[in-house]
Amino acid sequence: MKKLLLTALIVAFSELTAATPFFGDEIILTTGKKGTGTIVAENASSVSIETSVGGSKVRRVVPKNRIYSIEQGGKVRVLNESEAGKKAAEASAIASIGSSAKEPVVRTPAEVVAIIERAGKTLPDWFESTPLEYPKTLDLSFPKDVDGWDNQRNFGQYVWDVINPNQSRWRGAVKLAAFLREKNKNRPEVVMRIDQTIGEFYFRFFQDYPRAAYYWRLSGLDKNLEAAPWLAPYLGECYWKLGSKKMALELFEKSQNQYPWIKILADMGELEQALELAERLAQTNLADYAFVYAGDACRTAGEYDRAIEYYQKVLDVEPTPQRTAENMERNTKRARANIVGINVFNRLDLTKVPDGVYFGESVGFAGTVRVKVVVAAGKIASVEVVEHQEKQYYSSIADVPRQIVERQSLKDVDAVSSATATSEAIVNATAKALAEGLERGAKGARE
Amino acid sequence: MIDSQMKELRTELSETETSRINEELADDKSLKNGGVRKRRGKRALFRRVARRCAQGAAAFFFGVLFFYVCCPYPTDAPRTSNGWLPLSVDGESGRVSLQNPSGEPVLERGATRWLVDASSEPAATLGEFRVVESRSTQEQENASSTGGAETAEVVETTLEPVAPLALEQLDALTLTFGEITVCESDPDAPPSHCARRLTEKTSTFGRASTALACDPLVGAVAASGSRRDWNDRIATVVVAAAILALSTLFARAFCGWICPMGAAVDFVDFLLKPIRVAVHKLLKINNLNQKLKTSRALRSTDFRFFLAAALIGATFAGVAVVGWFAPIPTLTRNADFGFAPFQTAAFRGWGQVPAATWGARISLVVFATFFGLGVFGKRAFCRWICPSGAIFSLFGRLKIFGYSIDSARCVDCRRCAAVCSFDAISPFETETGESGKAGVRVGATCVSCGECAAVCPRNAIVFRSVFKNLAPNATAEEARASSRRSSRRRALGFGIGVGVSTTLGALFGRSTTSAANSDSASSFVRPPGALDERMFLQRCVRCGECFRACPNDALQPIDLDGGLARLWTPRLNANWSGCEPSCNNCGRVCPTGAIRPLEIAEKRRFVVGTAVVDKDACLPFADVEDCRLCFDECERAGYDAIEFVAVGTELDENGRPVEGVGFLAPVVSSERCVGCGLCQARCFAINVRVQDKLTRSAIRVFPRR
Repeated sequence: MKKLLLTALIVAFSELTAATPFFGDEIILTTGKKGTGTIVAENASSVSIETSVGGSKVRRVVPKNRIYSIEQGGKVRVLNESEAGKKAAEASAIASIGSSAKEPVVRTPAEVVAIIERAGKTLPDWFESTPLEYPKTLDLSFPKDVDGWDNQRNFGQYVWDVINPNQSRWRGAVKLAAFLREKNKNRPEVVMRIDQTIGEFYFRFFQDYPRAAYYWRLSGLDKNLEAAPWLAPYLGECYWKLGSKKMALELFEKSQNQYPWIKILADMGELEQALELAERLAQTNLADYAFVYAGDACRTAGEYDRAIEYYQKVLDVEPTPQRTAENMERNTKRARANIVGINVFNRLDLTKVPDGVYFGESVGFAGTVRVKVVVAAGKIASVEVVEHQEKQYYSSIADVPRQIVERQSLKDVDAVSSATATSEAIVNATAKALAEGLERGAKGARE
Repeated sequence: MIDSQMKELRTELSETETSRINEELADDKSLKNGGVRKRRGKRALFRRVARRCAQGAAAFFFGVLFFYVCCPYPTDAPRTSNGWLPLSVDGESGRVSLQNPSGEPVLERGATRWLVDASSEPAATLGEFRVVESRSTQEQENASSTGGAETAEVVETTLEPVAPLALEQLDALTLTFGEITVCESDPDAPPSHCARRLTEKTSTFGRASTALACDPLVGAVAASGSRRDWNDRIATVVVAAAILALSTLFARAFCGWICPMGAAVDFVDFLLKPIRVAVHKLLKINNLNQKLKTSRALRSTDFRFFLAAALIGATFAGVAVVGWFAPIPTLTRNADFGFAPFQTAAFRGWGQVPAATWGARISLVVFATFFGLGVFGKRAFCRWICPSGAIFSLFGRLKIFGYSIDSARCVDCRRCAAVCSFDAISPFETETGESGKAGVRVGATCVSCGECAAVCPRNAIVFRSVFKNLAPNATAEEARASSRRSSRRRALGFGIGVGVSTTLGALFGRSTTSAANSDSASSFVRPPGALDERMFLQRCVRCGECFRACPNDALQPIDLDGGLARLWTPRLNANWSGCEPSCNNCGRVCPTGAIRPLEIAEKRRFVVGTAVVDKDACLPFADVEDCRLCFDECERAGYDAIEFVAVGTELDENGRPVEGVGFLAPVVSSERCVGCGLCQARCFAINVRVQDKLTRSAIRVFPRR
């Protein structure tokens, strides 16, 4: 992991292009285009950069008059001034913050807070160009308690019914929330709830951890978790993703009984704490959730036998009247699919899968998820979700397949926040598809 | 007026007279086989062959236009293939070598492809490239990974930019190490493969509507109305005017030499000959005299003139029903209803052929009747019904070149009258009856086919300019004078007939269109580019070209449920299929501009209707199950006009919505929906036909007002 000194901040270039396993030198062109590799030659007019494409080394010769900056051996040289180049350099610095790195960056709490403050005070580049749209009937005063359900009147209900399901409206949601904040700026209680909401938008829609954390902290959440206890685990996740496990664990100490912590603790490597929490929550009426999350936690940690044990427990949970039958059924299905998934991919040797196109399916949040897997030259060439009923969490539909191809593995795929079920389903379906390929290969070998 | 000679034939030829003529002919040394000769010399034979060739060529050209140019198949979408690896890039010229993904064949040299940098977010188009070289090499695979040396085939393709790249594109290409996607067409432009096929074929064979433009009534419809969209119709009007001019110059030559409907009637008449003979026997039309008498009686109705007048009256009163009987629209429409399904089946299988509509069946029955009339006489449709032929007949009176009979040579054998398919030759007798010798003359219905000249035993019938007078002949002059006297009497009746039928037609047109315009419940979605309903009815000649040009048979004829005014006009049957986004064919094959030709980008914005969700049926709204068929379909077509809304949300004890309950249901954005009907087609195909969950599509397209 290399570090780049940029103004006063130390910013890590973690996984800029995860597709390139080798992190070396970087060239940014005046148009903002970036490329990483090893700089192997340089003369008065051009620079040669080498990297690996499809297993073989390739070299590109770049004329120097088109280069904005070269980063070589940790040192950055700017060759030509360019706005686009400058922007690209900054964007890559910001993008690297909190990206889903396999080995997370470790930062001091002060550094994390600095990142949050810096990013939070800027607006995303799409903010200006996003139009402000809302139904004319919307109650702009954002009252705390509303009667009944009217998604054209009440902001929270509008978000739930209309914004959440439509990715095309997510940016507009941030814009609308900012508009409401301005309208109600003299009412601190409303501003607090709007800041919570904005934080949620950045977290759920864009996985923009610095900005999410910024708005949650602005609402005073870090000091008073009682204001919105359900957000605590997510703020914790932000801290962890930004490099401070310590801050996350401190938050956990203050807000124990939120089951999303199970997953986050497991992601942070605190399996035992996660399982302890799960066991505790299993005593409540959230037993099915607790066990599913515990199973996921074990799976993340690579403890497959224990994972299956927990998933098995989900199947044995007695339905309680408080839980909706639908949720119960969903968790049961998920547990079953995961047991199958683990069984399948544990005995999977990817190198033995013959080239071909395979299909597999599993159960997601809302129904069948079907994937198409292309194996070429002993590698997973592409994974594509061809059929799904998933609702709001489109990001996992694109993100998880990308991760699988990048990692060439089904293990350690980082689930998109709050879309665990969908991510798991894609992994499980891919595993099944590959298992089918393996079987076909074995049959072929026998014949 | 045309048939002014009818009264002149007062006497029938007696048996003795016939034999007298035959004797006379037998004396003629130039005759063989006793004078019953059908061909007279090489010139007549040549003329006959030439006419058949012309008819055949015109029919063939017509077939090519309808069954090839207008046919949208095959509709292969441009291919894209992923996973090309950029092995080398020249950072100056943009020349790039890619390694093909396994299974991708070598590309043809000179082919153009669009390259897309798939590794960037979002994917960036790198521009259009031309294949310089594409070759396959055997490559040794890494021995250590497989445990043994194996050879694998590797295809490498080198391309260079068609035009110099923009700096952004060049930079993106230079530093791209991830996968490249290779597309057959510009990935940033909306797909236009259906439209492009039509463009290619049109540039080779001409506009698909050229054949229709030959019909003077279609031309008249195209010429009617405002100048606003003149460009869409000018081609039709020009061709129609040219054909009319030609037919005026050479007496109705279109009917005899070009008209594909005429050719079809000729062919069917040939097949029907045994039946016709039998029918004539049954009706006791045994000899020439009775035949002449019969056809004279039929001719005297002048029905086709009145029909033409009524149709034109109706058209100018607001509904272009000329196409009901005008020959070319009739032919194209029935070719579509009768033959196009087989063509579609050949390309796509019977599963893709929609069920015949009642409108189509009615049209086919009427069409068959037109041909069936051939059992009574040759060219029955052309003589008795064809309104375009009536127009040609009227203009044919102004002819400059045509056939005429030299009375001096005529022996009154009447073979010409017998052979004439069009009853254009009328025997007559002078009023004085001098020398008892009758005569024959050619009327305005003549189509210049020349069959008469071919059978004339004395070469008395010749094709010539009307200004070139034949030798003065007292008998002919007298006959002409007598016909002039009688035609004055007839002209009055004819004029009244035309006036009455025009009025009736106009009344029909006015009443049907006013009914149609006030008919707010009309649920017919018109094709993209269609004029507003009032103008559309006035301009649409019901030719059926748009049905044939529609790649998914989304356009189908309206049955009688739209009233007579809308019979056989196109509507979008979105239960069958939606409007293909890459296609703008219907507007480009329309001969009269009832559907205006639109560019693809324009067509994609043209609003034909709006989709409306039927909340009682829609599965998520009705709280049955999740369903996103319409959403996916709309997104795939690039309209993005359907959004989700959460329905059936349940609240927990704190009043917060419970995650995972309820469904996401579709909501149509009225700003973005163009009414293409893809959503309806999808819902119908899956939920109604395949899965039987619904009895009607839960999202349906209605015309927007």
